[in-house]
Amino acid sequence: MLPESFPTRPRRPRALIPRLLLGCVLGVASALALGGAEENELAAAYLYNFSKFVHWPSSAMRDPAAPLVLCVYGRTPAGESIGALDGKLAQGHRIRIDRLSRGDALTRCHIVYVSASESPYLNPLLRTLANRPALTVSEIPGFAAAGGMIGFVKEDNRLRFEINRGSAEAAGLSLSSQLLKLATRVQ
Amino acid sequence: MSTSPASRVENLISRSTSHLVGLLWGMLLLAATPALSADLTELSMEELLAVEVTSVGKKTQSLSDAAAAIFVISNDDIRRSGATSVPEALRMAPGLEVKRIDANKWAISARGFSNRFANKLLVLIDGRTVYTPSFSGVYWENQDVMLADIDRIEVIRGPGATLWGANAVNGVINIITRSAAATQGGLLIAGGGNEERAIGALRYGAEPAPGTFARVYAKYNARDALITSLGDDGRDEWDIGQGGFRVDSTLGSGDRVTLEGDLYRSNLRQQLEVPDPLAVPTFSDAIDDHINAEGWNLLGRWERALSVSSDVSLQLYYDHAEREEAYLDQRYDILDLDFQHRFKAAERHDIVWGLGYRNTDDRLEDTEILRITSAAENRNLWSGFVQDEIELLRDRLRLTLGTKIEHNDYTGLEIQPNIRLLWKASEQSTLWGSVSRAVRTPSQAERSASVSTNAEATGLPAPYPQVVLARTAGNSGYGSESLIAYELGLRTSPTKRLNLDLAVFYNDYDELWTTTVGDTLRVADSGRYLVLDLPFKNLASGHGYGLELAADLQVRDNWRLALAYSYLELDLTASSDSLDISNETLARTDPRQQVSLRSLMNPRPDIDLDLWIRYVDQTYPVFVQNAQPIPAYWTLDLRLAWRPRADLELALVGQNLLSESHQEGYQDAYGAVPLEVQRGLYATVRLDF
Repeated sequence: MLPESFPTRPRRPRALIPRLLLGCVLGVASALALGGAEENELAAAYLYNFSKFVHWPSSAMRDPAAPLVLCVYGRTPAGESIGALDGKLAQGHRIRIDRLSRGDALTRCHIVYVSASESPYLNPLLRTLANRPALTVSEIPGFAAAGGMIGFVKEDNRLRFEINRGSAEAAGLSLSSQLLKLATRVQ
Repeated sequence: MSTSPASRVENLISRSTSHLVGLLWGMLLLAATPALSADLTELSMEELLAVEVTSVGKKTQSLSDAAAAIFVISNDDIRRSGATSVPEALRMAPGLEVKRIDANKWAISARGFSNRFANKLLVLIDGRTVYTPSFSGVYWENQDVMLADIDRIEVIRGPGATLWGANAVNGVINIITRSAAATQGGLLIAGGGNEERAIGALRYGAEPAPGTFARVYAKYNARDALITSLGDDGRDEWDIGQGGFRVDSTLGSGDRVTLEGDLYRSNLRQQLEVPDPLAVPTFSDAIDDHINAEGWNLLGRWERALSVSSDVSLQLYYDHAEREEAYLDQRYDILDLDFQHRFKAAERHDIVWGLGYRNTDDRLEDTEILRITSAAENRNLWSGFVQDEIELLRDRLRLTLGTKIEHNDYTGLEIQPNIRLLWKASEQSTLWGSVSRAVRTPSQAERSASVSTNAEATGLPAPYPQVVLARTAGNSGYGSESLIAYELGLRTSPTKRLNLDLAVFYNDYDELWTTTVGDTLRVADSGRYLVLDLPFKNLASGHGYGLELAADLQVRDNWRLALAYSYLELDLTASSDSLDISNETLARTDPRQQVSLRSLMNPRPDIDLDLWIRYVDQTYPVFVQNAQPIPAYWTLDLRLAWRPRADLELALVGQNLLSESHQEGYQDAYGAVPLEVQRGLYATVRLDF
């Protein structure tokens, strides 16, 4: 039986030199095939993709020159990777990363990334954010079920995500159909 | 040079006669080749879904906020180390001394004082302390957590008394198991080998109700005896069976509740040489001792978020343990209640405070060797702590002030404050420093037990008694040992793939344990022998200093190197009227230098090839006089694992491969002959279902 979790990978590496050369030539793809990517970087890459597939109500995105504010709430190992998104373009807006600590106001955020450190405070936090046009994303297990919008889940050693469509719609956000299609679970 | 590094590697590997040498050279040279990198943000969502997750550097990044010398052993680290018990896994942490002194006993400490009854290290499993109150120390052999369900082991060197209380003098070890939600489904591990005779573990996790997760587990290990330095069977084989459960539930209100419990039973064998003043001519008896140990515990924790920045938790546990051996019968029951409240005040203050109560019911039974004046005791411990983390400069500079105040029935009030400063110099580098105080409170044995330590000929002419029996004497005036520790640390990641953690410390000890010589000789047993009392006093002091380095290098995506180096100097002196020599030897009982180098490689995603080299410097026994030092040793473990399917892993582990056997320590209490750890080989099958 073929190993289930890595069907696309060559089953047996060839000699060392061809592999190294191949690695240099194929760059990105080869690097990923060799062993995958760090979870933190993956989470950041997903966040960047989410920022492109969510439509905010015009009240939240009035000024076309204003930045798209991505707030990192609490302490997360993904903080550094997310920080690297600062200045990137999404839907014509520059992304700005704001690092917030427990208790800080979340009013100016378009996306709130809730760190695992905040899991004890999840319910009060989601109550604070409810019906506010901010996309909530988190690494906390059960985040979408608890009322968050997008929650990361790890399946088969891959990072995937669940969506709570109701929460997003209540907040006036619309998520692209592509996003919904790729989610492991939509509720 | 015209040849590429890669071809040099190949040449070297093909040429070298020894596979090990080839492997090592290969690793060193591969380290020189640049690692591949990729900008994941350029990938589409579909592509991201296909990328496999690795855990590069995750560990140290999340630690960069701690103003303490902390090292985390992850679940993956444990699995890939080949360790089959918690003590063996601890060998990878810097700053810890781990000695296996017989098949079922370990001497483990942080920053010195490692012996069988090492008493300056606090150990907790899911918030439950496993430090034995009657004699101070940890019965490591009976802390048999299911390794596959451990989330992480946090090893904190240096005092942790402000948060964890007395006896967290030189360090704290926090063993944290995974939540029941993270251990869903079935897991079966079975195997065995020549030293690890039987390895078995079974766990099943389910979601009985929405939001409520549960698991049950059972495990069994049987281990072979060590070998004596003369080559005979050590006759110290043992086994342990343990089962338990954990339930984690999120209530509708958002409150989180955890309930967990364990039950174990262990049969252990040991060889003792106990003093007997009437046994001519050696004045000692050899005992082939069979120990029974068993216990159970139950813990409940309730956590509630009050607001986005404040939460409370309440924890209650009950712990029962008993153990019968030739020189001691003991039983204890502990009831512990803890309350904690964390909140944010005035934007810059993150405050946590708590209250605790612990009731300990201790029963020790007299034996020939150990007499106790206060055999049954019921003691109360009251404690409170407060700690404030002050953000002096946002995300840059943080000051932590805190203190623990506790009251125990032996020494009364103990105050254990600390001050810590953390400076995040850059995104990559964090510097921290601390000054803290901690105490080690006396045990029941030190206060009220009298223990035979040795019997010797007096050399007096008849009719004077021919033998003198030395007995330590519990002393109700015996107080706490104290420490003031000064620490500095640096954590930095010069590149994304390299994490460095450096800590230096200076420990100033006072009121340390000594045995003194009593004023009078008593005549015992109708004049057949004399008894010399050796009362415990706090007459020694001293200092220790050292350095610990942990380096973690992700050489390539499929290859990680982890290095730990420790250097320790300990200088202890007893005041002249104590006549105690043990502090001089105590200071030399720990290795001055230790190295652990692990290589974790995946030549293919379905294959693990792991190597672990350790060096431990020469050490001396604590209580054995005139004994030979234990020579420094190198040792090597190898692990090869193959996953033919995602749910199946076959592993082959070789332990202590470099020599037939080596000695790591002396059995401090009545050890008959020095024992040596042997080369071992075992295989396991691991099946997820």
